Amino acid sequence: MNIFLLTSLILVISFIPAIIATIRGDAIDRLIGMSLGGIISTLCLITLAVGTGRSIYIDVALTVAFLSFSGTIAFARFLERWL
Amino acid sequence: MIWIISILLFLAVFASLVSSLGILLAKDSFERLHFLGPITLLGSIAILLAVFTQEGFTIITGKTAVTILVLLSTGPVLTHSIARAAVIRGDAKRLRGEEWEVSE
Repeated sequence: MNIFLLTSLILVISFIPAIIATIRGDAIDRLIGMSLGGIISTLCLITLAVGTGRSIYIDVALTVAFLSFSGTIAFARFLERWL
Repeated sequence: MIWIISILLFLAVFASLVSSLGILLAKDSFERLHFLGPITLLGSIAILLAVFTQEGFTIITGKTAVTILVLLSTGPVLTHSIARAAVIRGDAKRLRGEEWEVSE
């Protein structure tokens, strides 16, 4: 096993507390957990792409980074008002 | 060369675990927001340096640099936006008084 694949596996393991923080607590705490999940998934996809040696998979990581940013910004914008 | 990559990836994994467990164990929303820092700064820069040490000047390093640059530039914006939402929600909850606390 490549060391980048091992890093990707441990990053997936560190995804579990972010999921636990996302499914409980206040709305802001859930938003913070979702933001952390986006960052962890981006780094995990980068290490997976380098570990398998396919450079085309880093485009997926770039897309995840942009979409996680815009999604978190939209959630934070809508959490500023009360429905 | 493999030792440098191992140390850098260990730093990235350590920052990731610190961020996850810190978000799980912090008490407040604002304390919880601090733990987005280690993985955004230390983890992404360590992974970028590890990829550069492994691959050299190739297209993989360039794409990784662009992705890490996106992460590094959007991290403070995300933190500020979430903290602003938390402050506005806290002020609204305080202005409503205690009798509206049930409807939250």
